[in-house]
Amino acid sequence: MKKKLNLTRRSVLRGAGTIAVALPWLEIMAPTKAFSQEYNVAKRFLTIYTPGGTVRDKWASSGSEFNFNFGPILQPLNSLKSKILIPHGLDMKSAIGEQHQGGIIALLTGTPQNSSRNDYSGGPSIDQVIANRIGGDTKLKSLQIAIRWATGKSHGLLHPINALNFEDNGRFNPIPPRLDPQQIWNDLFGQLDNTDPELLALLNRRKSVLDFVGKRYQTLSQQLGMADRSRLEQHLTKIREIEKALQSEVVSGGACVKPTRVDTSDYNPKSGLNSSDNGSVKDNRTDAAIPKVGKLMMDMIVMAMACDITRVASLQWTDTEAKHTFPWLNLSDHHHYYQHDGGFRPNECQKIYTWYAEQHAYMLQRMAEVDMGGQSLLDESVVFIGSELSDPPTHDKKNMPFLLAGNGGGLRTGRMLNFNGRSHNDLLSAINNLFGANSNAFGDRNFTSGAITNLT
Amino acid sequence: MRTKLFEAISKMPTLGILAVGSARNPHVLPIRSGSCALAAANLPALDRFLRRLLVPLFFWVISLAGCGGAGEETSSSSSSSSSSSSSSSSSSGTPVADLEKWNFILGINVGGSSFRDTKGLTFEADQYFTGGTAQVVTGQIAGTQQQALFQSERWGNLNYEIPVGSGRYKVKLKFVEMFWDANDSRVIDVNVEGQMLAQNLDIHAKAGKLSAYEIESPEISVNDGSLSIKVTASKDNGTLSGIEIYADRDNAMSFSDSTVTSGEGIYTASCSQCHGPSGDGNGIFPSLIKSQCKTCGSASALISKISMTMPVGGDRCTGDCARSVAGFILYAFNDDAPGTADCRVKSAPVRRLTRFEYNNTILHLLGDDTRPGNDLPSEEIGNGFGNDANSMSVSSFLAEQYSKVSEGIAERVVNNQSQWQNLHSCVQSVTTSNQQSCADQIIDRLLPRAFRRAVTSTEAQAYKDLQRGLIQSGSNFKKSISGVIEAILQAPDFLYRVEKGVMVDGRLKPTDYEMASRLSYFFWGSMPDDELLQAAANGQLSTPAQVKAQAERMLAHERSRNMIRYFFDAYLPISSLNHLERDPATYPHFNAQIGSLMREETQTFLERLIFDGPGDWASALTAPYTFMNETLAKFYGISGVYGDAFQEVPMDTTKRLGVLTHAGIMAGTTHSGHTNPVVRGAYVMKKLLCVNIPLPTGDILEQIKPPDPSSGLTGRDRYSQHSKDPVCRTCHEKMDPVGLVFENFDPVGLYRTHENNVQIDASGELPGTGIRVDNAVELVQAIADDPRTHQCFAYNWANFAYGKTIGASESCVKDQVTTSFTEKGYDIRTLLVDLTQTDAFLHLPSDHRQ
Repeated sequence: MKKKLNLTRRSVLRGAGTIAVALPWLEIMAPTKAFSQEYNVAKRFLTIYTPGGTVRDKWASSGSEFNFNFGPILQPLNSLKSKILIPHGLDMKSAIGEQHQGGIIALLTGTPQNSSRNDYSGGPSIDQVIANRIGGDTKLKSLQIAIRWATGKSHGLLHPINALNFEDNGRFNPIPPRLDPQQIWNDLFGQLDNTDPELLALLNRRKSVLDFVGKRYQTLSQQLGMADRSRLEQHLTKIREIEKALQSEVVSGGACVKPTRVDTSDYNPKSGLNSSDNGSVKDNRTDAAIPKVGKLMMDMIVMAMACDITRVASLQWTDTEAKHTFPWLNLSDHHHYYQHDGGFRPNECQKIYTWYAEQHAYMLQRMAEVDMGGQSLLDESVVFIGSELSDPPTHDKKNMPFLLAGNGGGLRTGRMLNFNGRSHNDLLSAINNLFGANSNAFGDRNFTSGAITNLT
Repeated sequence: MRTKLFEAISKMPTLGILAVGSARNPHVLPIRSGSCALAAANLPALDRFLRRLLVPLFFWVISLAGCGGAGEETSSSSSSSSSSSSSSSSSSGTPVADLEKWNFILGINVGGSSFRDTKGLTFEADQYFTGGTAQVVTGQIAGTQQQALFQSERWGNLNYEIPVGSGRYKVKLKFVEMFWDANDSRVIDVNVEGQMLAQNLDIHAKAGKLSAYEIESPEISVNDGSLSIKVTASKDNGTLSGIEIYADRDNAMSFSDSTVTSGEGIYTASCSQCHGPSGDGNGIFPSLIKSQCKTCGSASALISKISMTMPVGGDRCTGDCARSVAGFILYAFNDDAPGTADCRVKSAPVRRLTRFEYNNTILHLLGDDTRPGNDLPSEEIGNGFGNDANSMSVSSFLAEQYSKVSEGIAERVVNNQSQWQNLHSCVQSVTTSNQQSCADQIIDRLLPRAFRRAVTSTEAQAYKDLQRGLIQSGSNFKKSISGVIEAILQAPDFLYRVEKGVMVDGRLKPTDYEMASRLSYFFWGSMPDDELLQAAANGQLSTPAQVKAQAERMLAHERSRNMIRYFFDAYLPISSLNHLERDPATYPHFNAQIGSLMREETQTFLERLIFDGPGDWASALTAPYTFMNETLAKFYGISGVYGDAFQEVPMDTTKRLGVLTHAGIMAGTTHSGHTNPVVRGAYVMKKLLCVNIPLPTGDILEQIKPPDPSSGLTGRDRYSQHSKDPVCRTCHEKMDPVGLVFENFDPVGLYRTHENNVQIDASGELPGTGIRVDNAVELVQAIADDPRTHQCFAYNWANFAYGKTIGASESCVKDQVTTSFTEKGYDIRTLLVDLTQTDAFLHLPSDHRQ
């Protein structure tokens, strides 16, 4: 099989934050399988993050590979068991750094927290690598959404305790997620079937302006030294992405249906800006709206995929601080308090994690119901659900509570596997391979021992 | 924990363990196999053990080739095999092999792609050639371990021109006969730098088919920047499979500014974690300071060492990477660094407007005071001020928000009467017949102010054409102007402070307009005012004196107060005091308003000190007064202060002295309901004294849990583990002794003598000075007397002013600024003006345009 290196000058420059020569290993350079019908390549990738691990003995499943039973926490997913693969026994060995930050940073990157990258990641997150490979011509190359995000110490801002996704561009910049459900609805579906002349005029003007501005970046960058040129070209790349998103026509029909718009005026997406380090500032109104907003966000993600607006998405149910309350579960302290701030409270934690399992069930069920033309959205996708640690009181990161779902790329679900302490980097490589990579390693090579091969 | 770690170490299979330490302080860890250098280590076993523990986990997974600090060469190091080396003793009395005479600096896999052989030599993919055809075989080649090298060839008439600096070299050339089965089928001539190396060479006769053959050149001199290798044939075709180039360790090498800057970037990202930002190895890893590092005295040896063994955990840095890093190390850590008289700026990355600057610019350009930049994502922290040009990047989200925010601004401008009229007076009488010319006039007026420079008619015409196009596709007049504003606000000419520079007297410097922006964004965080733009237009911003005069004017202008507030909001831990929350049951008198007032106290104090008071940083640290209003004074428990205005209030100097004892600083360094001496100590040492204290890693990190609030009666008790445990102590003794002195200040910054009914012991010391103190008043005086404090202050202002983190390659800039600051009595206003008089402010790097 011929190895095809598809590096344009743009991607080489992308690797050059300064004028780096002898580039660090860029995942984009990994050999890929040729794209043809012969290869079963997954079509969509969804990551779901929940904070604070789980109550391990209540989460674990029992039984054998094909004949297993969920523990109490995962019971809500019972009807979807055939669509789920449980990879017990994976350790996040590359999660080195602050005990929460290192976890969320390594979860999708397989690299330790990196002080020369402003305490963020030393590598790209797997969703970005996959997006660069399969997300070429969609309106959005990838979509990051978060609910009740940036609580506690991050005070509403992007911070190593809440950064999950990192660009695949040699600088691995953290990507801030979208927070406002109304704005997300407008951005994703506002143009769908919209014949409002005001909106169309605005879009036309925006296209003209962006085209004009893009040309100026093009011209000016050529007049500058190499380092500055690469900076302006990076900006230009982003402008071109927006232009492409504006140009791509998304029409409803078939699986693509505009999701119902819901009133979320009781939800303040920027609530984190008022947060205190220890979660003592409570926002009960916003917290009470979390189930409603969560459902809307999940609906929008499902439809964004069904409408091919994007093929790669990630959803964060808050951040590693998790300093919000759960009024609908009658829990008036915040999650981190039950994790260990007030001493580990396994009963309260179990309630929370079970509720998250219900949300996962909703998401997977919706994906299973969307008919993409002979197969469901879930059939052609890979869903990866994880957390920044496994055991809240000790911050242990062994035997992580991961879940895989969907049959994209030939992922064989309805199974329970045990990897006996293998590095989770190997799982990330295997996921990468489901999407057409042909690689033995992902992330920091010190923690890889080869891609897991029995997912398919 | 200790035993577990030791067991883990003993279980490490077969690998040597990093031999650490510089020639100055050789500690060597026990090794299990291989022959890493052994230096006598007359140290207590405990200290050796501590060093071992501080090595991050992943460094344990290294190959033997990676072993050996720069200060200790070994005979099994992966240098060239053709060497003439002699042993000599190091200062510790242990025999240390001398530097190899010939150092491998470059390999080329002729006809093939890059690979690394078993001895650590990295071969670049085939390059620098003209002529020939590549060919690859897959079978085993006899007589070599460099299979990938010999399995590829380039055949034909070959000409290699390999760029190297002037000096003496040796090359090894590798050949293999892939095609012919008999002798006398292929006969070649090999020529290196004009000298015949092999004539009528028949590879098959020498080695047979598919069998490795190599020849080594004698010493050759290269003076023209290019090492030439030519292969021709008298029978059939020439062939070549591999090239190894070795440089004389004494070759003098020079490195361009861009090479050094590039090397700095790589060094910071990949090397500084171990070798330290200033190359001293953080006291644990090999030092790169020339006087302590033999390899670092020879460019060739350094390039060789790097390309073959570094970085320890990752893909090797070879070829240009090794050259750049070597150049940086030689320049930055070289004992003969140029003095400040020769100080030249090395890099000036283009600076994008920060949100602070964006908001101010929008206000001054268009009259919009809604601070729309706050909808943009926050900047990366970088140098601590959010304006570090090297660490800024553009995310998709940022680009989208620029678009949305500019549309919001444009909408407000065209619909707000005064903003609309400020565009140009013609808008008041616009009709369908004159609207075109009005649009042109708006653009002609707006563009040069938005782009902060003169604008050509061609440039302006492009925007006019855009406006016309929008009209033609159905926009009304106001919407077409909106479109123009949106284009302007997203243009690189607006968002970035592009500097093309101009050559004057053989040096590149900012143009007058570019200097205007440098001045205005430094002193005001905003666009130049009309006076500055006029001075630029008149060519009156060229000389240092002219720049200084403007600097003084702008510092005296009230707009500078905003900038100074911004700096201290970032430098001192006061920016989130507005949102500070404390448990109302424990602190009933504290609320968010008090938090805001605390911040106001510190900002007012600094502003008044700088502009009306003694004006120096030492006085700020030791002033016996502060500023409060009535509400805040009541909180402090001080009587006699009336009204909402902030007024000067004397401090009780038995308890407080200077800015560090403001309640806001104390509350801002407390993140929960209990004080934390580590946070406070680390803040002072890292931010105020610029002492680098690495974070714990690996196994240590996993064991760390914050102390249970009920585990001790006082803060000193709760954190006692840090001084009891020798592993913790190595780092914590550098910061806890400071934080513990501040224990008299509770989580809301109020003074207390007891905690949980136990008297607080506020004794401590200032690490690095040996000065012991009994309370905060004594401590802040020691801090104010410490030269590190003032160097750090000046360094931070320089980073802020220049939008970078000044690195070792520009250490002369840092020295210039800190020396001047010290000589002038730590005066802050003088510092700010002096920052405009350095080479970094007045010039551009020589290779800025390349």
